Amino acid sequence: MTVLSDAKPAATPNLTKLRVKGFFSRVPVIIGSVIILTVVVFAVAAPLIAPYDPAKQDVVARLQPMSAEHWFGTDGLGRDVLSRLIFGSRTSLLVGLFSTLVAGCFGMAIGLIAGFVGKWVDSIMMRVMDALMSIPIIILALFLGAVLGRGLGNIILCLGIVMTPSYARVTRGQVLSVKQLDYVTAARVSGGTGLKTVVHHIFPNCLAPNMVLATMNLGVAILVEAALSFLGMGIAEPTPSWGGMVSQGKDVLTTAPTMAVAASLFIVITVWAFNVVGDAVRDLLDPRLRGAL
Amino acid sequence: MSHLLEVKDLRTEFRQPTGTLHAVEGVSYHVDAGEIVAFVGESGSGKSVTQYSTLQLIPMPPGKITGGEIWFDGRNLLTEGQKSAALQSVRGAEIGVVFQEPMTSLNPVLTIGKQLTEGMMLHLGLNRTQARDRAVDLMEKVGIPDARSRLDAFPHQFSGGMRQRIMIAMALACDPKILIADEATTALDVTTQAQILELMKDLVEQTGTALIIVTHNLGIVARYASRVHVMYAGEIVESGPTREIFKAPRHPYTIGLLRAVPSLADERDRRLIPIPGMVSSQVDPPDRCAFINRCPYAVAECETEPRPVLQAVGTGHVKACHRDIDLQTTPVRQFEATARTEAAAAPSATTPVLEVKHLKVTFPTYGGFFKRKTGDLLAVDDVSLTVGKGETVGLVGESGCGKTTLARAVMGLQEVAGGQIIFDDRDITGLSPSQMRPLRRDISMVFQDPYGSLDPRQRAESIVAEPLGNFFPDMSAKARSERVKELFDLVGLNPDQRSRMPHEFSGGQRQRLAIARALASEPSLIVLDEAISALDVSIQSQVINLLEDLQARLAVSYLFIAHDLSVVRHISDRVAVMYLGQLVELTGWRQLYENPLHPYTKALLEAVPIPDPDDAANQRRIIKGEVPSVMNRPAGCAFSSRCPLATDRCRVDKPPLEGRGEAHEVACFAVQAGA
Repeated sequence: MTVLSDAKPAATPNLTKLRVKGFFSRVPVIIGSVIILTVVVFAVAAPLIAPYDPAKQDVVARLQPMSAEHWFGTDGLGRDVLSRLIFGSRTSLLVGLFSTLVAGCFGMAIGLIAGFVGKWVDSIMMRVMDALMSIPIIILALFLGAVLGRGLGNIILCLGIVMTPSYARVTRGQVLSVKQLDYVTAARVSGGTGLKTVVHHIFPNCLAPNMVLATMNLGVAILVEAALSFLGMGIAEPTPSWGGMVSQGKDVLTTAPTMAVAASLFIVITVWAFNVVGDAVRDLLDPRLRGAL
Repeated sequence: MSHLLEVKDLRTEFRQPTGTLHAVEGVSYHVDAGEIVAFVGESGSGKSVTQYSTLQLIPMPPGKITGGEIWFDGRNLLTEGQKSAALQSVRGAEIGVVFQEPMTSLNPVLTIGKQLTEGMMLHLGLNRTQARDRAVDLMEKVGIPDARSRLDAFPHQFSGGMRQRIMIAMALACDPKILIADEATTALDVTTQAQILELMKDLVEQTGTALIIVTHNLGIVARYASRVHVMYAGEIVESGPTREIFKAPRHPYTIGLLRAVPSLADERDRRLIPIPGMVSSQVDPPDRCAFINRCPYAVAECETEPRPVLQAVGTGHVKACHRDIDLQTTPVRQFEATARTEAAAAPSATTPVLEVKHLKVTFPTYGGFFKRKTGDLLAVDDVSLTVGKGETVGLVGESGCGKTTLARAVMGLQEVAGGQIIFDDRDITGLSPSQMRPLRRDISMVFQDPYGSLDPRQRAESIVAEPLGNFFPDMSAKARSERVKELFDLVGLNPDQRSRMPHEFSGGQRQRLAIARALASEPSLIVLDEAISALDVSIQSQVINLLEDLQARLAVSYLFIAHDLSVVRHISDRVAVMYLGQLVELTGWRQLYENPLHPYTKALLEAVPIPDPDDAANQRRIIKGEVPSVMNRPAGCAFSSRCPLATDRCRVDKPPLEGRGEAHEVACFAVQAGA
């Protein structure tokens, strides 16, 4: 009988390696990944990379066009635009990452409870989420921003709340389908408590779609943060933020267009990169592609 | 051009990231008008891909037909493009295909009339009225009652068996010369399966259509086919007339298959001889016999010789093997003990482990605009059953008869509407989940699908150790890991593989993991819910042997739920037959199979094809009709709507389950009256 165990299972030569290889086989994904990496490096090593102090004003050299000293010119207070963009990546990334984290934690907790407990708990929680979802994201963010006030922490919290419902929905749906799989019943039959089943079996199997959602939402969070800053509800001056820079640049668009254009490009390119990589992550984790690669 | 379809040296490959998968490796065969040809083999043997390749129905890429000729109607189909008009007219018109899954192969948003007439209007140039008339004809031909009025019904309004009939009608719509049935009856209940196969056989006889049956069920082959091709790892390893293949197989794989399959004609104590190991990888395989790692007859020269080619051993009988093997040849190596482990203690029905008394399970039905509760659906109706210590009770019935619901009720996973469940002299009916939890140490369960019952994100050892952690929280990590190793050994898995993830195991190994988990807490009862139905024949026999050995060693009791009567016969001490939520017959395995009393049991037994072309049972008649829905259970005896013995009394009164002879209970007025 032990002879059997010598038989190797059907060929599974390092699937992870193959999947990663497949992941990077598309040019846009490579470009997107490089961009994200660059933005991360900008954020982490901003003081080392930025040519100038982003807060240093030089009124004599205000609103300068592109030049060798100032690649993207200077703003209305004579601050170097490139340095401010590099420092601004910190704001964007912080807000993006932490608001996604907040939304993910809240949303997954709500989705897990609603999906697993069911009944009226489910109805109440999900109706609240539906209500939140029915309000346009920017308007809700503006409202929460007005209530909570400006500041990095508040922006993160506000975006976190705004994005919670999508995680709650995705998680709940996943819980509902995972809950009726045999291995969850098997966990119960093996004597596991409800809590243990949720933590050990349901939660880990709900992670994949949430990861996909998170990568895609990072781009959205950065975009909404920029929009809030553009509308004057975001990060307060003098902390640089891309949205705020577009807003300032728009006032001098005719005389010194570089600032608005450069800041917009940074936003567009970063959001695009997150979207492309998010798509690729989804393909990577899509159950239909599991085993196919 | 003498043959209707002639395939020569067909080769199909699939490009994969890990290399090239050789799915079909030089397959040649032919089909003549009016004959039934079968392709058998385990999953992954390439039998379906071969059929799809002839019609170029495989996805290209990654698939690619790299060689061969397919002669049909004087043309080589391979020279036509995949999307060419010539091939389009062959597919669907001249060669019809019936697929395995009747639930998914019909479009749910179109009426069946629309789906039936579409092809006719396209291929035969009929107008709408003519096409509809023809559709009605076809539906009557395949045995669908009220054909005209049901033409505008949607697929979901038909049962699985009816849908498969519709699929056949569709395949027949343009009078095809060949009908390919790709595992067409695998997903159906035994009685429905038998009806569909009889239908196809009759159609072949009437119309002269050739039928290609692709199946893993040797019983079907023996019963219907005139010629058989046995496939293994993308090659035909043996082919010949059905009788010769079954009576004088010459390839080790064919011999292995025949010995692994449980049959209704078996003695219960016949030990099944599984084919050890698994199909070797077909990704860039070496040029030698593909069966070598599982072959009990393999000798040194098999290692060095190139792939064996087909050689004639009789009229129309060919095999691909270097050695000259037949049923009498002594194997040169042995993989597994062929003797049955002697039971430590005889099973005793007198000390019951589980007693189910008058159990009733209902499901509420909802209706109306506000989804109000409108009634109760009786899924399990007054079932009484005992399982003794060290005993195996088989529970058989067709899908929807309530066997899984009964199992879930026993496991405390399903609310009970009435009756009692007594486990180990303790009433466990209606216990709350927290009251039930400590009891779960003594009752465990193995599920049907080994792919769904193991958490894909847990390692094998933590899966097996799960009950240990729950029931023995004080166990040290070392003791737990020792126990896990022991369990791995017990179920015949290598303990070195315990840190692997479930997807790294094969289906059979996964089911062993599930069994190891069920054994971990040393339960006195294991409920096996269709635990081997999803496995390939050779693996099935491995698991049956494993279960029997474990029972002999550990004196554990099994409640073995299955729809396959031949498997149940092999493992059970007593067998209970269920029909529409009721127990209709309950007796020892020998009485049940040798002297079945209830007409339903008889019908079930008659429907099971026996893997022996000479068995007279294969000529028996097949029961008509389908299992009615539990929603409209006939009044009186549930079986009265299909029963040949039914009288007026049966349609009014419900027959009780009464003893008849020694340890033989049956619920039938006609039998009780001595008819």
